[in-house]
Amino acid sequence: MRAIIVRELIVMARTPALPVAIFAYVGLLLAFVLAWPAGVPVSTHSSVYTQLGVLQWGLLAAISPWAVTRASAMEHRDALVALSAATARRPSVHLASKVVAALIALITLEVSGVPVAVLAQQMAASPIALVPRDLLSQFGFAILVAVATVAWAVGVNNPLAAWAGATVTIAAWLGLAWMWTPAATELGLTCAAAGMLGAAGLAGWSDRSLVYLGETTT
Amino acid sequence: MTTMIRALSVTKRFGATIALEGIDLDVARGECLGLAGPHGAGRTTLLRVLAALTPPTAGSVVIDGVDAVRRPLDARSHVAYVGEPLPPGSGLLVREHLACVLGSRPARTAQTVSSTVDEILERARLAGDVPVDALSEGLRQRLALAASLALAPPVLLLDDPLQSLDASARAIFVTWLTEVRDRGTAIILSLTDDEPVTSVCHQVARLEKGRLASRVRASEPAPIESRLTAAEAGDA
Repeated sequence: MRAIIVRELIVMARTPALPVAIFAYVGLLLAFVLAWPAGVPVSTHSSVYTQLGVLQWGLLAAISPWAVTRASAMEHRDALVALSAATARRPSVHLASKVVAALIALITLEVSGVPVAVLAQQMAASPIALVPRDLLSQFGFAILVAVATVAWAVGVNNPLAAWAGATVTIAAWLGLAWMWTPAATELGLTCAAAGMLGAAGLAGWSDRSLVYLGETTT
Repeated sequence: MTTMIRALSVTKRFGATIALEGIDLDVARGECLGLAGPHGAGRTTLLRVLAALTPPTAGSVVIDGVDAVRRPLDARSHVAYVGEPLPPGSGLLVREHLACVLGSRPARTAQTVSSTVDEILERARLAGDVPVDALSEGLRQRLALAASLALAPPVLLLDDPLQSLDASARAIFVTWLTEVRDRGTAIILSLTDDEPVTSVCHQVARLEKGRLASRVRASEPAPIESRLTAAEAGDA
């Protein structure tokens, strides 16, 4: 499986999507902290660190599916079957490799926001322990994003549709989970659990549905 | 001799179209079968069925002792198939693509893969630092063929592998194919009727309209064109 994960990572490294996503994410976080060092004036009941946390989740929900869709190798049905045959590996192994590569990219994106989070934490005089705790919650969110985006990319043979589908799915899930538990830690855990369930479902589906080429007379 | 490929009463229908009907085949270890016939005879479909890439409508296929109809994903680890669709390049360089294909197969270490990739590139006369997607169709086929020959799997299924190669490349691959066959790989090689000579095959089967029209066996491989002539004489 290592050779296949390396393949996916090479493909990701070849595209500028991740650097662009990091630039946009860190830039917008920094702009927020610099523009409102005490937090948004209309929301005086929460600190700048708390407000930055909400902004981080919003930006990650918008940027992460785009980054994964743009950076991943987009193989659809017959191409994936052909790849699976060439490598003699199950389709689920290829999809798992794509999810792992996407997860590594998303964790890189999330870690890139840590310096700004520490800056906001210092400005708000919040406990430093909140930063790693919230980062772990974002890692849970990355699992959900990686699985949902890879699933859409495999199911839809169009990068734009895959990106739109993944974004809507993630936003809908995030909205529902937010209503159930607005706390970042629980939110991260529910996202991770949903992502892992989705990954298991995706693996099972691919080993049943991506076994054979599409039928054409030859 | 150990039978590596066994097909019994293989039938394939696409809706009302019968692509294959009642095909029986067996190929032993170290044996090469040439599959001749005109375009549309069902050669590609048969190779895809044997490679577990297309399910047969009826019949059984056993590859190296594995039931390819019931366990297609397991059967594939015994097979290398070269034909459409070729595996996607996805932005990888030729060298990286080869490393992935070779490295993903069991019992290969990274060190072995690295040296093998260099050997393959040299032997197949391929540039390693070119994106796979930038290769012409002929070079992509050459890459797929080189990767499958380097793997030397128990079973090798090749769909018109030499068609887009020039004369010098053809000579290289025929020699390579002979070596792989002599090391024990069972090979089925699909050929169009106007295919130039290779001397790799022990027998030639001729498909016509999805049926096995004839099959000529020889104890020693000889130029295929003489077998095709014999097969056609048999048909008459």
